[in-house]
Amino acid sequence: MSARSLACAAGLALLGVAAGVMIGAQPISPFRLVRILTDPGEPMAALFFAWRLPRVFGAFLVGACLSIAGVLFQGAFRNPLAEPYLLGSAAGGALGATFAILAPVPALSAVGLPLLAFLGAWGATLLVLGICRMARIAEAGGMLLVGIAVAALLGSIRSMATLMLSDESVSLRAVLSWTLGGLQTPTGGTLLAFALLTALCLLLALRIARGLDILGFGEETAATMGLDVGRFLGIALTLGALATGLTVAWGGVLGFVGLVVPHLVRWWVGARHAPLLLHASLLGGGLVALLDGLSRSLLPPSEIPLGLITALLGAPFFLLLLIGRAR
Amino acid sequence: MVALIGPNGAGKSTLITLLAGTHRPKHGSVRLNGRPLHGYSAAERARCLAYLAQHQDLAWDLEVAEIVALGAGSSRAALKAAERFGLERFWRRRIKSLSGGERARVLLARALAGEPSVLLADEPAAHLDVARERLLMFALCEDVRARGMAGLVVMHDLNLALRFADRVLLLGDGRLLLDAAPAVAAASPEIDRTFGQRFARVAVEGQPALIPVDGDIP
Repeated sequence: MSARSLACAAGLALLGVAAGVMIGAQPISPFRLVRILTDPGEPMAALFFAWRLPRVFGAFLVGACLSIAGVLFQGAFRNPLAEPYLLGSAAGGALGATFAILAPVPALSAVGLPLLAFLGAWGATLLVLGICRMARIAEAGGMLLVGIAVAALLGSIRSMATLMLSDESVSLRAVLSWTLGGLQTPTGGTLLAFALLTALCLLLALRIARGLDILGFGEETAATMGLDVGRFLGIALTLGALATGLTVAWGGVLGFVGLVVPHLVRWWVGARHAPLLLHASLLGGGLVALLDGLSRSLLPPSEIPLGLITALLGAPFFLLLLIGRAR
Repeated sequence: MVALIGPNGAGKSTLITLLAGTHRPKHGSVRLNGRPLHGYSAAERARCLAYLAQHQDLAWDLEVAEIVALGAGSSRAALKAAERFGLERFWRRRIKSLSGGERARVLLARALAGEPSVLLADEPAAHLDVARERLLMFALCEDVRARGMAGLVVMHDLNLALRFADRVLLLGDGRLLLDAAPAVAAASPEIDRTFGQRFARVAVEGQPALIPVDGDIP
């Protein structure tokens, strides 16, 4: 890893954030942006700082978290095609979030939503891992099939729960927006909490990065290289589920970001996990900030759910990867 | 330097994974320096024992330098290993861009970079051609002998075992059937019986060699 590539990644992330800030139902030109940032009297400044900037930062954090989760899952499963969405973790998180939204106690959704999203993501990940162990599935394809089946199962449970538990159309809409992936505009406090949790995820992930490198040699060899494999996998997957839970709580179910970003970064800076995590979190953040901007601006005044955009761009990339692997 | 030989299914790989501590024996115990192996922590064990698996399926396309550094623990030890195993030429290349022989050399360097006291290797030269196989075994034996380590290597090629080992262990059906110096092992009819194959004994340039031939087992 070089300081230059990291600076380059930070620059690209900044570009993504800047683009996300400038585009939207009401586009802001670069000149106007400078004026808003420097002159508090600018008419749009209040709206900008209260709505657009927190939203773009929220999008950045969601993208960073998704990329961290992608790197962690790929490392833990030793599988470059693993990611929160394809493994069913995001579906588990969404199920948890759905229960939090539909719970009759309104106070629950503030703290309960991220917590239940994390628990759901964790449970789904362990379920996939357990089934793969039981069926002795180690190769990429089989693991993805298990993930897809678990995601389908959890998705239908979530739909049923939504139909049975929601009594007004409002909560139905809220749940639906989660399913399709859509960012909320966070308030200052939640944005700060989200930023701290994302930073915590990144720091903890960096601490286990060397273990992920070692795990790449295979579980048996890794065990002889000083890694307590069972314990390590538990930590890595819990951390991956935490990152997934965070993204689900704030951005709903977003596919493919956790797959595409680590892949691109691996081509660029190599496969070692520490630089991979740093670069992927920056670029993932920038990418989602940009895509969220597009979701706000392509069909004004309505928003295209962000999950549709990530799938529209990510699914073809995934298919190209599959074709590339077969060659 | 000990070679472990035996027919398929004799239990060579099982034995070596038990010794490496990745599997625990159902009966009996494995001891390292007089202490039960499972009493060691994973990190402690890694400092004493190095293990080179038969099939290394690498999930990530790391650089040679990164791979050796993961085994070495420090960048100085990694550079020393690079020198010992002649890796400087492709030090910054990604492993999947290397040939089979170069790759096997890198993985051997990874295992030995941390300067353990015991090397356990399961057919480290499998899938290599005759010349690459010998080159790798030369590099392995030289390092093991130079540092006074103990080496236990599973070998499917009997003549390679006779050439490189100081001691040959023959395993059949989970039992130790022969434990002898190469010259003695080569002469033993136990090898023919265990493999179910008749061998002709020849000496080529002073080296004992076994050649499989047709006919009944003596």
